[in-house]
Formats: sequence, structure tokens, C-alpha cells
Amino acid sequence: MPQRYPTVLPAAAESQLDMGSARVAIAENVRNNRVLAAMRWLGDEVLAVYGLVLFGAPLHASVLLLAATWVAGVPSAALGLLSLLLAQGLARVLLPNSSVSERNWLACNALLTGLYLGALYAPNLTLLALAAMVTLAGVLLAAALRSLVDRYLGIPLLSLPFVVASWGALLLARHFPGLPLAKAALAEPLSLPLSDGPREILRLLAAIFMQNSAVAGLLVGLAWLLWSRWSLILALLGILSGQAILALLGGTHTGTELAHVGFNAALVAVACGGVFVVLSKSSLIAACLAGALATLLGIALQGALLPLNLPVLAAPFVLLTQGLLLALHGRLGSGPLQLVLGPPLRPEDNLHQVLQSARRYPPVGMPLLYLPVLGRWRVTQGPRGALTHQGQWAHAWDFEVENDQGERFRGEGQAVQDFYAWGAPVVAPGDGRVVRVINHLEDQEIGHVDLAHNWGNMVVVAHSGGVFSALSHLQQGSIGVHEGQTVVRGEVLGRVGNSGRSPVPHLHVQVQASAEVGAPTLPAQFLHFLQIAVDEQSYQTCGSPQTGALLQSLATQSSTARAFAFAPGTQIHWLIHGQQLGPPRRETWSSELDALGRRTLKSNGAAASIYIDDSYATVLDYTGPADTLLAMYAVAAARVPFAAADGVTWHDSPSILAHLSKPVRILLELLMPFGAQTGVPTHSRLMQGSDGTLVLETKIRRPHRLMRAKQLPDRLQLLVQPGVGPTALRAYRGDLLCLDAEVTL
Amino acid sequence: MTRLAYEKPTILRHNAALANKFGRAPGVRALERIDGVKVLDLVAQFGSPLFVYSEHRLRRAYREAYRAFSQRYPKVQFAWSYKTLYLDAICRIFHQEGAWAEVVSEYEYQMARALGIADAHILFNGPYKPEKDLEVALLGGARVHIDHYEELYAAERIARKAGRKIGVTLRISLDAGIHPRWDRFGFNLENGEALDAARRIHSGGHLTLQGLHCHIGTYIADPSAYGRMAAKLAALALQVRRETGMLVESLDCGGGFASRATLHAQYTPGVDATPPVDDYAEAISRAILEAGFAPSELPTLFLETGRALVDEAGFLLTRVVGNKRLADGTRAVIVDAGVNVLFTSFWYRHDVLPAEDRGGMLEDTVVYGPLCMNIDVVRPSVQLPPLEAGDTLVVRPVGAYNVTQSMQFIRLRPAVILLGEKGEIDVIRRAEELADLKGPEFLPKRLTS
Repeated sequence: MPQRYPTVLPAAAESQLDMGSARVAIAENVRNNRVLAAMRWLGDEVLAVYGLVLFGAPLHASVLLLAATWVAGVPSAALGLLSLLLAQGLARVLLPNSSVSERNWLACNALLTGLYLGALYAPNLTLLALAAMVTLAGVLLAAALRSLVDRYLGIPLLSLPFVVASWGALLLARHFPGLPLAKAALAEPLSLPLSDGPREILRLLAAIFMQNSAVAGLLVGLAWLLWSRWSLILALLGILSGQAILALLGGTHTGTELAHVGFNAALVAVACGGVFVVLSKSSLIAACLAGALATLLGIALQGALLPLNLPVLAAPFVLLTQGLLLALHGRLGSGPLQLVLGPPLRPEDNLHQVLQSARRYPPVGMPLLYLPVLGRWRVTQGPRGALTHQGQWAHAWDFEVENDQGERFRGEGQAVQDFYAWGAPVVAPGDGRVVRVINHLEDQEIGHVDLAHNWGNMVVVAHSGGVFSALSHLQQGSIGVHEGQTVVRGEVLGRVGNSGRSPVPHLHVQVQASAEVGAPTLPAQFLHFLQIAVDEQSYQTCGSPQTGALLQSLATQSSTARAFAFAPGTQIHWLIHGQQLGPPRRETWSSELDALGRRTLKSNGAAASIYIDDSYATVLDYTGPADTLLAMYAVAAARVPFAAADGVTWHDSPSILAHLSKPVRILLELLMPFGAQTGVPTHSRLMQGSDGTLVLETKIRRPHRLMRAKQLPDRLQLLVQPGVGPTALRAYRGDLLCLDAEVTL
Repeated sequence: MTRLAYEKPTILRHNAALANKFGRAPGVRALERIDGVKVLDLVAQFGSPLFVYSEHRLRRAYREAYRAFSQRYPKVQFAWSYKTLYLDAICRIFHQEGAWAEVVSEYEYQMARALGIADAHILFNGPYKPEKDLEVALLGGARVHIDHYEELYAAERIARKAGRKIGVTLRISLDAGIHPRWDRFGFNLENGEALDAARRIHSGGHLTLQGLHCHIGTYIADPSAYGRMAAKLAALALQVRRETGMLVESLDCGGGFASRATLHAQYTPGVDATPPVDDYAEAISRAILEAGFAPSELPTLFLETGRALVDEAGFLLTRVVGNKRLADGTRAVIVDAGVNVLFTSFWYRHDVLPAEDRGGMLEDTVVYGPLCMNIDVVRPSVQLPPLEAGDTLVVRPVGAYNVTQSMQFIRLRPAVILLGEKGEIDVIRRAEELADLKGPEFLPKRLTS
């Protein structure tokens, strides 16, 4: 049984006894490292820039995009690549503290500028010099604009620097005779048997990269198809909406003019339909409308820019997307359109994250409180309770104590002291500052109420986010904190009493938007509590308990918390015995922490992002192959409360996407905006095993037939040694053990 | 027609059954049922004497105590005091309810381990822990409460040999304002030994101070004594933190809460005089919460309650053997259970109630046990109606200590049964046989002829 885990990353190659071979081995290592570094640079800082044009396509799609630029115009592609490399170099020199993603974005704008200039003008040295100067100007302009826009507006700049730099180049170029325009478009390398309509669409896709070739457009479309089906669908919707609106308005526009504008519709539809706005049925409509608007805006701008003889380029896309984001900024989740919080990923991933978060974690923007009482309490009146929680004060809870037999008092119940709740400590439901204390009112006799001072003795605490919690009906003189005092979660504020409108001793809890006594209540949820039913203690991460619920605050066990701490740098080595014949497989997990404080468990190609606080540990998301042990763990330990009590149970529904075969996953992703379920319901129980081990048993309820994943077992059992970490993971299908993994040193 | 046995007539002074200087006449005249089960049926089935425990009362007592403490303090853990009653079934009930185990000897420790209790959930108390058992417990991860310096040095030796730091708890004795003051257990606070021991642990480098433990007495009816004790213990923990940096993560306030039994010299019966467990909870919790701990360093509160949880759940059924008149005319009754199974009757005035109310005048009676020893008196004076041989009497509350302190002197130990919550009746310890007594004996060969 391993006692502890090594806490350093693995050492380099084993020591060689022979110095000669050691030197060779080191040299080999260094050479390999150089090659690896070069490959990494190529992927991260060159190919990724091509992918950035499509909002972050990965390597395999970016290669196709690179090919797309080279297919139709070698000069254009070459100038684009050179501008890209120049911009990367300039960024490293001029902006030494910039991150990879910022440099890539600068390079992306330079790439587009280079592609455009290379397509417009004939290749010669003058063009090269112009492109270099324009790239320099573009990098500086982009860097300057970005810090302003990021800080004050909070919206992405997209390809605005490309537009401005290109306009600058065009305004310059007409003064220099050494820049003749390029010859007519080259012939297509491949002739595609398509009618005009689809050919036009492909040309529009190619126009994203400043190309005019249908083959290039086909490669772009293929890249999107391989990477993100919904991006392609949104792009096509945008293009078709643009064409539709033009047909509706009955305009006459030549194909080339449309090509100068039409690709904006594709990009803006992707941006406003799935990348910056969460993909949904409403966002699809928004994408179509945005596509139509972009087309019209483009034509309008075209007219406006005619005197300057400047093309529209990507201006409609940039302006429309930024405008929409500004409009939606700060209006989170209240309407049918939802902004993507955090770094934008491909539309399917954005939606998947939002669906997971809505299904498994507290709603964004919902005030969250810990229970303000200790031990087991009954909610005698919950939100919208019939007695007094009505109208503007609907979201409130009344707590009382019952004994084993359900009685609220001992003896006759004639005196306040007879009630079990009387005098119980009331603790701060979260960190904050006390803003209001009323401590002088008398406690009422049993059955009498003080209607003049409805809330009696009370404490109002201001929490972060502009919410206030109010704890009322406290005992006269029992409040030990004063106004202005900072309190921490769990600090004793006062004692349960019977002041105010309180016929029997109880605690009234509500969340409100101001510090006023009697302010209207806000909907809120409690965090990390147990809901007690007959023979069942079910853990809830968050919830709004109703009248009659029996609640208990989650008492945590530090040894359990330490077992799931996964301190960054630790490595866990597993030995896995599968049911099939063959040698046992080995897998190593390593825990990492990134600069933004995000924790990940990585295991050769798979990654599980985890979140750990002092109450529970949860697996936020798993990406990677379905057959790793980490994938099993992501389901088994999707959520683990550090409960001290034995036999606590809970429900969860971790994502099933990673466990599906590729075709089924693609199908599910296509159905996601229309209500397809991406989670598999699980039921877990944490028990004390023999000899002090913890046993976490998770039963997986049968997923929908469509989602039947061959890799998923019925039941997973994780054995944990308190204070140390996991020791074994077993998977069962029925009664058959289909996977047995144990930790080795 | 059978001849009736002759009983010499006596003159009995009538009590008008109203209040006089000796108190009221007892209100309860008989106890016919325990948990709905007829006492006479139990005696008929299992014989007498017979210990009867009620699972319902056990669980209720635990839940009441847990509720009282858990609603006043965020981290509470009860540990069932094995010495109060270490029958497997009883211990199992408390462990099911969530209690850990508190043991005071190596065999109690082994009992707890045999029941499947993890080392980390065992509190090991006591002034005498043989070194090899101490080693097993410490290395297994049990929470050992150190009583004196020699034990501390032994623990250090064990930790040094094992090559790792081991956490221990220090038992502290202090003045809680009550009498008698138990200063024979643990390190004394007032004379400075407690702080010295903590410093010794810190400077020794092989142990860490996991917790502090103080158990101020037994059957303490004054909750404020616990408040004073908890305050002093908390102050010591904070002082240790300041001076040595060691974080005391647990405060064990022991047990000793009064049950609703009545001491011999106590006028008011325990049912009225004993404070509810909420009062003890309030005193202890308030003292610790107001001591000044940082919210993240608030220690876990351990409680080793024994008597208060089990006393009222235990009954003894005994049968009348004979009647007597003593020299001064006092009536005496001989029953088949005496101080051999009711050790606590030396200190407590247990209720003795007939199992059946057949009417008759109540008379002050001495209840003698079956032993041929003058000290064997169950009750020197109790009001009982006329009883015949074979009549059943119920003695209560006898749940605490009587089973564990029963002697095999003159009479073998009786059976113990458990009444379940759904009416189940189970024997959890059978009545002893001669083989149980003679089994360990050896007769030397030279004495066999």
C-alpha cells in the first residue's frame, strides 16, 4: 500500500554508467529537443495563426488552411507568410512580455494584410518593402488599440488592425509607381464540377483568406468540417442570409462586388452564432440576421468608401460583431442570447460548457450562501411559503430545530427556553462586512408577535457582488458584532431568539439587494449542505430547499480533503488490469496548475480540469480518449464532497461526450442546441471502508440508446486512503469486474 | 384445600399518602412494560436476573446529545466510552449512529478494532498502556491520550524508531471549580506541567500535539464546570499555538455528564435534578467559540459521553427470593441480583419497582441481594408493596457500568438482552456457565490425588 506520492516531476533519462554513451545520450537528447522545439514553434506560432482566422482552429485544420492560401496564389501566400513571420519577430522584440496568444493575434492581422496585398499587387521588391512597413505599423497599431479596447470596452478587436493597416497601405500605394496591380486571377488548379451557386459560396469561403479560388474555398470548408461542423453551418447560414436579403431587396450586384462583402456575412454569423454568443436556437436566428446585416452594411460602406477608393475588407464583420458584443456586455444570461464567458472556443465547446455548467453547478450570478446555522435544522417555511414569504419577500427561509421525534420543544413548550432552537448560534453565511445591527428588541413570549418591528433583532451582512444577507429574530443582546466589522464565513454573529414577528424561536434568512431592514428579497441558493430524508443523507452542492426540508451543514473531514488535494506537481502511477488478455497497462497522472490558477490532471493525451475548494472536489471537464483511466475517474469522482459523515449520497451528471465514438459525438454535437442531453446521470455514495479507507461508489444510470457508450461500465468504485490519495479504481459491468487499477509507487 | 403459609402479623403505621417530612408517596407503583414488551414475559423466557437494554432509548439518547452539540458547535465528534458498556451490540449501535470509540485498555482497543473501527477513530485513554500495545496503537494512527511523562517518552521512542512524526493528545487535569478534583490523571494545568509537556513535545521533534483532553469527573450535575474546563482547555490550546506554533486540532472534553440516576445523598430525584444535555452543550460550545480561535483554526470538539447515553436505556429484572423481618421490624426482601451485578448501587439510589401492581400497602423495605456478604444491599430503604417469592422487580436506571463491573463472585453473571426498535428481542450476552468461570484454571498434578 503506497504511503505517499512523489512530489517532484520525473527525473530526466536514467543515469548512464558509461560517460561516453552518456555524452551521446545527452547530445541525442539535445538534438531531439531542438527538433521538438522547432516542431512546437511551427505548430504554436505559425500554423496556429492560420487557425486563428477561423477563431482558433487546431493543427489538423490549420494545415488545410495553409494549403488553401497556397493553392490559388503563391505570391499572396508567400507575402502572407512573410508578414506573419515578420510580425512574430517584431512582437517578440517590441513587446517582450506579450503572451503567445497575443503575438499570434498580431501575426494573424499581419497574415491577412500580407495575403491581401499579395493578392492585389504584383510581386516585386517595392511590394515587399511596403508590406514590411505596413506590418510594422499594423503591429504597433494593434498593440496600442488592444490595451485600450481590452481595458475600457472589454470586447475583442478581431481583425480591425488588418482593415486599418490595409487601408493605410492602399492610400500609400497609389503614390508610388513601383506598385502595379497584380494580373488577373490565376486559373484554378482543379476544376470543380459545380454550378454557379455553390461555386460562389466556395469563393466566399476563400475570400476569408483574401483568395478567389473555389478550390481554396473547398479547403477552407473542409477545415471547418473537420474541426467544427457548427461553424461551417453558421458560415453557410450567414452567406445564405446575405444572399437572401439581397434577393429580397431586389438589388443588382455583380459577383465580384459581392465577393468583396459576402465573406463578412460568413464570419459574423460564426462569431455571433456560436463563438462569442452561446450556440442556441436563438443564436442561429441571430446569426442569420447578423449575416444579412453584414451584407447590407458592407454594401453601404462600399458606397461610403468609394470616394477614397478603399475596399470594405472585413470592416462589416468587425463593426457588427463588436457592436453586438458591446450591446450584450453586462447583460448576462437574462435573455435568449447568452455571451460566452471566458476564452471563446469553437461553438460546440462553448455550448457544451454552458450546458454542463447549468446542469451541474450553481447558476451564474445567483447569490450563494452557506447555511447560517450549525447541525440539523428544518425549513419550516421556504421560498413562497404560505405564511409570510409572499410577494416581494418571497425568497426567504425560516429555520427551526427538531429533536429525534420531530418535536420542536421539550416539556410543555410554554417558555422560549423550552424550544431547541432558542439560543443556538447563528453564523455568517459568507465572508463580508456587517452593515446593520439591531440588538435591543425584546424577545416575545410564545405565541406573541411584535408587529411594530417585523424582523426583530437582526444582522445584515454585505457580501461581494452587491448582495446582502439578513438574519432575523435574534435574541436580545446576543449579537456580538458591530456595524462595519468584517466577518468571515462561519463566524458567530448572534443567537436565535424570538424577537420581532416571531411566535416561536426560529431564524429567518433572506438575501436582499440593499442594506435596508425589510428590503425585498433576491432569489438565492445555499451551498454544500446535506438534505436529510429517512435513512438518506443526500449532498447538494447548491440548491434552494423548500418548506419541510431537513438540512444539515456539510461537516468536512480534513483527511478526505487532503486525499483529493492533488497538489500541483504530484504524480500518481497506476497499474491497470483489463478484462482482455494482455499485459497490464500503465498510466501516470500528473497534476498541473496554470498561470490562471486552473488545475488539471493530465495523463498522456487526456486532461481533466478539476476544481477543489475546502468543501468538495469536482471534475469540470474531461477531454481526451475514452479508454483512459482518467476518463473513468472523471465519471467516478465527478463530484466528491469531503463529508465527515458516513454514507452521504449525491447525484451528478458528468459529460458523456468524451466517452462516445466519433460519429456519435458529432451527431450529438449537432443536436446539442436542440436539447440533446450531453450528461450521463450518476448516483454516488461515500462510505467508510474497513481499516479506515474511504470507498466512493458511483452507479451510472443507463444512458440513452443513442449515447450508449461501450466503454462505460455500470458501477465504479474508487478506494481512497484518507490523508494520502486514491489507491484503487475498479469498474463493474453488472457483477463482472471489467477494470481493476491500483496505484503503485 | 392447601394450607396457606403462616406469616406472623405485624403492626404497620398507615401513611395518609400525602406529603410528610419524608416526601410524597411514590407516584409510579409498577413498571409493567419496557418498550412495549411485558417484563414478566421477559423473565419467563430468559430467567432472572436479566439485564435489558432498549435500542430505541440508546439511539434517542445519542441523537439528542448529538443534536444538542452539533447545533452549537460546527465540528463535533462523539466517541463511545467502551468502559461504560463494551458489549458488541451496544457499541455497534453507537458506531452506526456515527460515534467513534474511546478505550482505556489494550483489550478495549482490540474490541474496537474487532468491530471494524479504524485506528484513526479510536481514542486511547488511561494511565497504563503497556508499551507494545501503545506501539500498535500509535503506529496504526489511533489518537492516544498521554497521561504522564514516561508514556510521553515511550511514545517518542516509538516515533523515533518508526522514523516519522506521530500526533498525540495530552491529557490535562485542571481546576474546574468542583469537588472532588481529579488531578491524578494527565498533566496538571495549574502547576505548569501541562504547558511543559507541550513544550517538551515540540522540542523533542518526534511527536506533534494533535489535541488536548480533559475529563473532570463523573456524574457532574453542574454544566458550568464544563464551561470553565472548556475555557481553560481552549486557553491552553491558544497558548501552545502562540508559544510553539503547534496547532491543536481537537479539544476532547471527556464525559461525566450526569444521567437521570439519583445519588444516595441526593434529595431531588435525578429525573428532576439533572440538567438537560443542551445545558452542557451550551456551556462547552460557548466557552470554546468565545475563546478567541481564528475561524479556520477552530478545533474539533470530541466528547466521550458514556453514562449519559446508556444509563437510562438499561434495566435489571430480578426476582424476589424471600421475605424477612429484621430485628427492629423493618421489612426486608431478598432478590437474586445484588451488588455483584449492581455495583453502582453503592453510590446510586436506583428505582426498584414491581413488574406488576397487585395493590397492597406500601412499606419501607430493605432490598438485599443474594450474596452472603453484609455489604450486599441494593436499596437500604424503598417503598414496596407486599411481595411473594418469584415476583419480579425492575431496577433502573442501571445501564451504565453495571454490566462491565459485574463480578463473578458467588454468583455467575446474568444474561443481557436487547430490545430492538421494531420489537425484536435478542440475547447479546448469554448467562454465564461454570465453564466460563473455571475455564482458565489449571490444577497442578501434585494436587490431583
